[in-house]
Amino acid sequence: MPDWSFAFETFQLDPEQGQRLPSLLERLNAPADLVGIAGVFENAKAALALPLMRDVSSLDDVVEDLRLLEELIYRCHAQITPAKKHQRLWRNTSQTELDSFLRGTFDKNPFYSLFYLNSAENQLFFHWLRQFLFTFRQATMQNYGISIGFKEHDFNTISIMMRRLTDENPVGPEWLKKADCQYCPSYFAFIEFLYDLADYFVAHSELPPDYRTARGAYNSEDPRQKNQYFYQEIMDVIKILRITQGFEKKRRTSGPRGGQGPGRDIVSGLSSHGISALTGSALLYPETLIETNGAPDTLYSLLETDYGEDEFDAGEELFEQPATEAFIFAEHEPIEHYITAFHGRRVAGAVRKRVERQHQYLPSSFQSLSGTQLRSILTVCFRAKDYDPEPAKLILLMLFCARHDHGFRASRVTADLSENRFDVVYLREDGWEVGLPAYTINYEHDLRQVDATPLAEGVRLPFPDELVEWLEADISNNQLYRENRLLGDFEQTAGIDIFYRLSMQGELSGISLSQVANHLFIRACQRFGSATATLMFGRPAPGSQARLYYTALPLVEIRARYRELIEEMSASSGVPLTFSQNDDQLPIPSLSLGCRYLPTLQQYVDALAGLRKHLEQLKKSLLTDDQWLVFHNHFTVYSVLCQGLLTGMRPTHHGFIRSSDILHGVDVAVVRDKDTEDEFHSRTIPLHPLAIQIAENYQSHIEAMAGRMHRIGMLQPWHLLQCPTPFFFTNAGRKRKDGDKTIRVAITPFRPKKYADLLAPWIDLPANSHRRFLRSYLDMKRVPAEIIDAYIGHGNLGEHFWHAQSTLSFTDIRQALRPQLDELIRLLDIRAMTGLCS
Amino acid sequence: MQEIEFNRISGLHPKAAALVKQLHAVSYTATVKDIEPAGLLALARLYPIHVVEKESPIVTDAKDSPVQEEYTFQVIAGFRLYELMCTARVLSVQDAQLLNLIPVIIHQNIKPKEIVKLAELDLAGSPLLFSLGNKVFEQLRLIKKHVSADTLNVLPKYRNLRYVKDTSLPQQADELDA
Repeated sequence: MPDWSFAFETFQLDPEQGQRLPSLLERLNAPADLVGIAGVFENAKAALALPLMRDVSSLDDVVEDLRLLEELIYRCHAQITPAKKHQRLWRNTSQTELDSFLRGTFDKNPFYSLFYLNSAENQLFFHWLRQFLFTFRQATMQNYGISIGFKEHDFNTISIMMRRLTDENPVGPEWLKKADCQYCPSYFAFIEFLYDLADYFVAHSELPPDYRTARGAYNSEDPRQKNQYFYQEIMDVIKILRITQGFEKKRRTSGPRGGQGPGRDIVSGLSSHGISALTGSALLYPETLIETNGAPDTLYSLLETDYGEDEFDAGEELFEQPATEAFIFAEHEPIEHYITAFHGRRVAGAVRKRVERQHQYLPSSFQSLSGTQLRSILTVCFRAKDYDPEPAKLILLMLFCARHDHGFRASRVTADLSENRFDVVYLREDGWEVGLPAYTINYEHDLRQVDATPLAEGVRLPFPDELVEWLEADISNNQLYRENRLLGDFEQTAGIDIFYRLSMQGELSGISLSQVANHLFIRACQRFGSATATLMFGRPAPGSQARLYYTALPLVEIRARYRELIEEMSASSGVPLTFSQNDDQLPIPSLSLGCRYLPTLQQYVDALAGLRKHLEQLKKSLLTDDQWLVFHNHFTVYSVLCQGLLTGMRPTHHGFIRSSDILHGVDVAVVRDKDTEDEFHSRTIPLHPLAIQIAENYQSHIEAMAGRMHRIGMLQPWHLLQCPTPFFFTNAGRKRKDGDKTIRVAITPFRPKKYADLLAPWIDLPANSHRRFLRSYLDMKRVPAEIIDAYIGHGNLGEHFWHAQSTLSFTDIRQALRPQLDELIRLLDIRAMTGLCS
Repeated sequence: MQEIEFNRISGLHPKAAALVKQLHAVSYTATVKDIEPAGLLALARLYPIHVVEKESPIVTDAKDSPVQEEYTFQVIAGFRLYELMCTARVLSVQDAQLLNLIPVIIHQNIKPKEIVKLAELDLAGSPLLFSLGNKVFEQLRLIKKHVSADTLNVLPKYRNLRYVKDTSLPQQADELDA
């Protein structure tokens, strides 16, 4: 550590500020003699006056620390007088060449010269660089926690390359002149400047053909070798700076390190499907109903998505929607066939599926049973009780549980189903209920632990009296229940044979086993949507998994819907199927089944009321300290939360429908809240008037607040960040020492993490929980799944709402949703608050 | 009085900025939407913004470069008007380009002490000079009666003088107003 006694002597600080001085000088990488430090201070001030980059601006601690150091810079700078004894500290006006003035500091203090440098071509680029250099160590540490992979010589590499940008080689200054560095929202944006530089360099200077791989030589006579060397230097610096993004820099001698690497697991067990390696973030899901009896044409999609940090913070599910790539292929086809069939399938399949789903059809090859067929099955099986009970029982169970025969292997009979633990199919001894294990939803990440209501592990479906009677008789008469097993050995192995034995009787001819097993499932998909069907029968439905990731239903509701299905079956077949037992007689706990982290209505009621009360209180003290900044943050949170509950907006990007996103007159918002490479995620949302009111109140609030922002010097940074709306003040309202009322804030554009953190005192759940709530709420209210899809932005690949082939209109959506949203507003007491108005 | 490009004003003078920053929480009747850029420009002719020159930095880089000479300006008084102009430009309100060229008074050879004095005078004196006493909206309605519609065109605040309870002020201030 250098000896700072000269610095202490020069700046004459009070003890408390003095404590921070060494850390400041170390960050500025200053030499002990502080040569030219006044110039460094000037530049550091300018660099910190620019809007802080996103990687920094969202961290309360870092911002507080930075602002303290900034104050210290102002303080120290003011202490430097024009007196002769301070002459060496001033920017040298006669010698404007770095090399001569700062001679001797380059090796030991690589960044110091960069802090000192003033560029005629593009001072702004160097200001961004200085902000980067001033903050990157702390921010990287905070953002990525673990030890940072920087080496001492990395800093020299950066320094040399940046200085070389301004020297005699004409390409560097040319690029500086042309580069637009007005706007640099994040570290990554800064690194992009350098990529741009590298491209420019390749385009505008002569390079040998192997310039990408070989190093070149700086001292070479050949200018091409020299250029190549410089190019490699730029690439080196890019790699070093990328460490701040959590990337690892490959070094020649080092072994593997921790941190975020590209190391991904290979999903085992899929090699038989013709895929040798799948990445860790891939999911195989069926595009058609799964067939088990050798049907060759099951379609699968293989999904792999890239996952942004914001999406993770928002709690979006990775597998929610088909993204980046989707491969649809048939099982047991050689790989060449996938390739040849890929495009045609993808296009044709998507169109076909879209039409089918829009009209509530599932693929035509898997039709469900007709009324007559149902009648035959039921009568034949019920009749078969007396002479051939084993196959009849299997067929009835397949029909009522919507499962294939193999699904009953290892099934059990039990006296009590109240534990709600299900690993296999359980039948209650008296035959009243069957318990099916819940469908396991794939999650890529375990989010932080929150107080969420636990989910049931299985679902219990009630059987109609006629079936109960039949099963009961079977239980008492038959020895097949030996060892508590639901089915005998014979049935467990010989499902198909049994079926053909029955169908030989002629009455069941033309019916396939799949139809029996799929009938109720398909009916459930059509009637209640694929999420309910999956939750009810514990098997996956084709198409997008989005519905499933956002729906949770109480067990009571699932049972009620199951009864409706059975009643429908009874009506269409003409065979009486009745339920004499009511649910309230059964010991059912109030558990739900489905997605995790589902907030309750009461949680939102409390959160909204709490936030409103907090805001009213803040409004009374807007003149004191920085309370209006705190008010702004919470007002933003309140507006985003309220509007989100009415629009289902994803809390990524802006997280909010702004007044400027709305087509007034038709009351429709056109927004983008999700990115994938195909960029097809702009959404068109019919709005509730209250959502518009909230947007307009927020706009007036921003207009009224702009003057105040100007006074604290935040209007310009906000403008440089391209006026992100909504935004937060980082580090507002933190307790400071007595008498210290200095405002030390930064502006950070809307980010799901910041939003969730601010909301945590009222509701501590992932930022996108309102979408789960909304989906589940509307599903409970029996709003058709298609309408909810359109509203929340869930859809299958190839489906675009409001597209020429879409059968939905805005009026449909409005009419279906308006009463539900009105009721939701009443239940939650959502109100549009006014923010600052003068 | 002189006209200069708005872009040549780099911001508030550091001494003035420190003062203005202390009064960050003060609220005014008008927001940026209440006076159109044309109105702001006309008011700037009436009450010009006061500025001083600021020297540009010396270029120091890896090669020997000449000193550049282009002056920018810093505001030392007329803060409220300048604030509204900045806000109008940042929020890109309609016709904000009218503010590209604005009238200013340029002070030359002014001492730092005088800068502080001028700034303080503006901050403390202007509100006394211009604020309406109580019943702001009633008074504005009175003013509206006697001013031609042509003039009021650039002051949209007068279009809708509905009293909206200013909930952003503390309770006591409201009571005074009533």
